[in-house]
Amino acid sequence: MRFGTVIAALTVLILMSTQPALAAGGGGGGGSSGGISSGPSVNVSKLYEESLAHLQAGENEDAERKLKKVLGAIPENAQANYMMALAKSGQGEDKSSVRYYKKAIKYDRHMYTAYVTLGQTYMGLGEAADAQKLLKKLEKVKSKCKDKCDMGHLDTAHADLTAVVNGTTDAPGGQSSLLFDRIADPDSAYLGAVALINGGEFEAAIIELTKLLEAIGPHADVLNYLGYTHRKMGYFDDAYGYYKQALAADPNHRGAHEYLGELYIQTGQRKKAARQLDKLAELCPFGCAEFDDLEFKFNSTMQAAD
Amino acid sequence: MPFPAPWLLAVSFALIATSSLAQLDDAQWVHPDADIDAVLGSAPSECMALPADTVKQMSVLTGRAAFRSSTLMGGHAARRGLSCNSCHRNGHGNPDFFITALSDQPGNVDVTNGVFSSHRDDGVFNPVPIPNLLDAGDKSDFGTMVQTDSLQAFITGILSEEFDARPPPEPVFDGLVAYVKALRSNACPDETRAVQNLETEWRDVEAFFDLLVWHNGQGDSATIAFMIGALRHQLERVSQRLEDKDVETGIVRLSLQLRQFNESPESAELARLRADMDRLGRHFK
Repeated sequence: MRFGTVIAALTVLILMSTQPALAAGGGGGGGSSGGISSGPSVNVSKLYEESLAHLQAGENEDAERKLKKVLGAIPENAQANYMMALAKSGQGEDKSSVRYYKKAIKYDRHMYTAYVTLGQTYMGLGEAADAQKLLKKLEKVKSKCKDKCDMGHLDTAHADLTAVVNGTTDAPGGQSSLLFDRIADPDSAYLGAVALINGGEFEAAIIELTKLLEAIGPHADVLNYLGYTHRKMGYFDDAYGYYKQALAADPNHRGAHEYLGELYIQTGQRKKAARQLDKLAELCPFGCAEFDDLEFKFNSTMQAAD
Repeated sequence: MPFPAPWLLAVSFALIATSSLAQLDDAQWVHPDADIDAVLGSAPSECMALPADTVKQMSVLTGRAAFRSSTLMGGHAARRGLSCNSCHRNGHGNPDFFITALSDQPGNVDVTNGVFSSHRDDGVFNPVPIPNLLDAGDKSDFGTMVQTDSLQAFITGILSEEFDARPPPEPVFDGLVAYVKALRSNACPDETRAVQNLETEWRDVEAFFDLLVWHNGQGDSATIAFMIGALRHQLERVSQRLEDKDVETGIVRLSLQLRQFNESPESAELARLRADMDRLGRHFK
């Protein structure tokens, strides 16, 4: 069986979730308007879910068509790239899928499932050397893990990829590890993640938010909070990437503008922070907490700098 | 910036149709099975015993404004537009209040959760009924989950711990305490429910403006800034009920002028803003 076929069969098992409303963020920031996110011009999260439905039905071409739109809006979304790779593989286009797996890993080096599926694809294409390089890359990620990695999943992925590279299996026993987990109640899961953030448990929050992202696609509230948690842990580049994605999903997301402004303040980019403040003033004609809090932090740092 | 031409202001009240109440911020707290229009089209009547003394009266009314404004809150609550009044409608409970994952049934909410609070998460799903605040000033102990022996300590705990808020200016905090104390069961009007519509929301705009003028005379800049925030929030509540875009433009402009006033306050400017507000108010009476 070709890997593409294996993956196509596996995607049938990917479970759907309903489009969640989610809510504005806590811990100092959040959504678009009054709590419930206002919709972006292209509802990428909905498109993502529809593409999952197509994959579930074995409609890989339809999935690809919708994922193209998602990636057109948010090219740096690792989950959508991963799904596109699955859609390509499902059509027997293993060579094309490689590009998307690589992007998925590029934009989220902690998407361990993508390492395994890419490794499988390399081996299926007879590119064992690339599979070896990939294994080394995963080992490098593992060696650099501080407090951010989900070690359980990382160890499983490492074992699976090692088995693939060594040729001891072409479809590791942990097939289910290739799939995104189902989330029955995304709204409650989101609030749970917010509670973790408010409790300062950023590492645990990242794991929960990532699961949400995998299940529901690029939702601005979730992406914004991934930015927030990464920033709080000092991963400024990752945080910037998530804020960028959140604003691609919803250019008027007040929380993302606020937190991006905070990131700019933290990294000494005052002019850019001021621009986020201006944007929030425009988005909040009646005032809003996002503007007030960013302005407070902006002015506080100004005073400290004087 | 001047207001629109007179012809624009002559738009008749009939044209200012009320939009669906599902668009209001408050709709997010209404249980999905409830009739939103019925729930948000009226509220239990306010039972407020207003003191005769002007200064005390202003304090109670300042607290009343703060009670209705999400600017009092911090964190998640402020971002979702939650105010004291969201849970305690006109000082009563709220049998229709519901938040996914925090309520087990309408009227109940888990106040020791980590969603709104970085301080009070007890890790247990334990919603409690939202209490009626009438005659709370007579009590000697306060709180269901976290208990205190004074109303001041109780409100401080709610603001700083339950809702991660920054402490409000002292006159606002004192006003909040005075307002809760002024909620008396023997001050209830005959009608048990009061209509909530554009006209009543606008009445609060005017009342908050009067408070702003009064506090401007007192000269406490933090309180003035707070009142401007509360007034702008109230303008947003009016705006959410509007369908007429021209009138909405005027309301947005007033809000932006208030923001400008906050940055460079001048009493003459306040007088002009009142005139602008009065012109807008004709649409709601």
